[in-house]
Amino acid sequence: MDRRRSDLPATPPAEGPPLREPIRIPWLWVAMGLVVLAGVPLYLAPGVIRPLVGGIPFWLLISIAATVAFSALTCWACLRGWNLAEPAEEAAAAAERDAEVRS
Amino acid sequence: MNGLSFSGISGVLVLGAYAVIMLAIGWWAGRGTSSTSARSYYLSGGGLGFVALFFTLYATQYSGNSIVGYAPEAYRSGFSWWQSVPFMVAVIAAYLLFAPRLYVVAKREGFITPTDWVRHRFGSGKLTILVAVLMLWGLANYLLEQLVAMGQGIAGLTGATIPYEIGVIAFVLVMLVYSWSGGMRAVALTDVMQGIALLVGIGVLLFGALYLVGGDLGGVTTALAQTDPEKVAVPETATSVEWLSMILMIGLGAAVYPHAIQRIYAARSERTLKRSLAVMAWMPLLTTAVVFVVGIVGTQLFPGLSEDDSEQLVGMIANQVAGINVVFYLMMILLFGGVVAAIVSTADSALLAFSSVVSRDIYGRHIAPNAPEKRQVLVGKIVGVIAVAILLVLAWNPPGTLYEIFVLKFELIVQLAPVFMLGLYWRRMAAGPAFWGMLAGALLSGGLTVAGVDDFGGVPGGLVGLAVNVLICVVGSMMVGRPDDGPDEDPMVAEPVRAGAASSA
Repeated sequence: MDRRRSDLPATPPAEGPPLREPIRIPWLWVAMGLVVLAGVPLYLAPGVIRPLVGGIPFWLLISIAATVAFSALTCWACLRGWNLAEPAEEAAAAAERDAEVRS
Repeated sequence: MNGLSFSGISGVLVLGAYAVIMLAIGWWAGRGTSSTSARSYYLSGGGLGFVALFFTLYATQYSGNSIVGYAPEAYRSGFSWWQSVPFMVAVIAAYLLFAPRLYVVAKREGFITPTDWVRHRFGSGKLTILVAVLMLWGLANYLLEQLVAMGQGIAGLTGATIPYEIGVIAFVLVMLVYSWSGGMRAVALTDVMQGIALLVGIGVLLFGALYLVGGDLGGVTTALAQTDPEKVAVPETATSVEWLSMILMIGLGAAVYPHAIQRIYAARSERTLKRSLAVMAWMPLLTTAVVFVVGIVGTQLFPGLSEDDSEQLVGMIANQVAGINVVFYLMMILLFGGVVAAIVSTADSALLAFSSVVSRDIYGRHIAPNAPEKRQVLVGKIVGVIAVAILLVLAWNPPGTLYEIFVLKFELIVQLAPVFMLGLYWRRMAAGPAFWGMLAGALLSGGLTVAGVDDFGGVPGGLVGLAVNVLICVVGSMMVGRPDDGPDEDPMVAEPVRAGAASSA
């Protein structure tokens, strides 16, 4: 991929959080890859059931925990790792509201 | 699902009520929609707020198949079917690979169909035609699946009081009426009702299933470990490879479905879009995970079912739950109403996307480029109705199990991923290699399916096709592409730098 511009720091808006794009957060994708791999029992010996925890095999509990982590990372990336158009859109909406109030 | 204790006239009444509510919402929503503007009709003017956007994403991504098809899969496969939860999370993660930037470009350029991006990025060549054809093929397959599921669900709910064919035609007419009059706005607002019905339905199914086993989920799994240890144990390596492959293929494929991309365009704001997706990241744990538990509970309630019989698992469980008392009886009627509503909500989204591609990318571009927008929209609507009629004929003889149909459509749709996920960032990516890569990937995937080769050691043919697609695309672009072939779509740069000449295939 063309990384020339991707390596530039985000243009800071006048106020509010900096511009962010999930694709530019390398640790996010590494972490997602790890939790996905942790959730797939490729690294365990086929056929193993025990130990059971509350009647549930340990390997399924690992998969469940990894899936929760996958959801949490994805949710975080949406809310905190993504901020491209929002500052401009919010500013435009505020200006529109001001114009309506004045008129 | 014949002989249900809640079947018959009560099922007919609840389905009738659902149909009336859908028509009423569709009529109300359609009042503000203009059929003379493609943007108004297909994208609700790009003004969907959080509630409508979230529920239309939810009701579109999760169909009735997510209940009636996935519970039997958990029943048959055992714990390895937990994969249905991460692969649905992966769809939202895959959105993050392209949606943030595509949203900015789409708002700036006024995109209506997913193909608009391909045309903007690569020019109006044969690549855009191939993209449109693959989208129409995938959407038709998707719509067919919903029509098949719709008939089975309706016949099941009413104990065949409403025959399969009559049920499908009735709900297809309801869907066509509100989609025709209200477009995306009607589809999204009916999705709110349909999504709520699906969530409530899944909740009551879980509650009822756990009630039948005394709430002892640990006891269910312990008993299953004794009777069917292979369903509880760490799966074979090939199954785990398939698990990982499904996360990749469904994640990448479902995110680039035309109706999924159109919901990015239809968002009122970035704030609305990212909040909707943030909540969607948790929905697999409230949907496919719950259905997984129901399927596992089913192994103890109805042990030893054949593959065909297990397809009726949800109906069997619902039947037992309904027999507990009148409250459960009413809740199970709500469940099946929710299943049908969910199927309709997925079908209407696919139909609207199908119509938009026909209207804008085929008719408006290649058949009658000078036709006014109103006529383009009308042609899209009419061709959509004709396509549904043809698919109905196919739906009378539904093939195999629902899950097998579901997987097949991803083999082709996933081939669209590179033009979105690479094309947005890699300016050197050239139209020619993108076209040949996509064509090779689609032919290989389709060829393997026709030849009956489902996978290679757990890796599905669609993913093998995608690997070939990406390889041709990347190597070809390195050879023939120039560093500034494509426009610079970096939204962190104040004014996007236009490409000197976007090459066309």
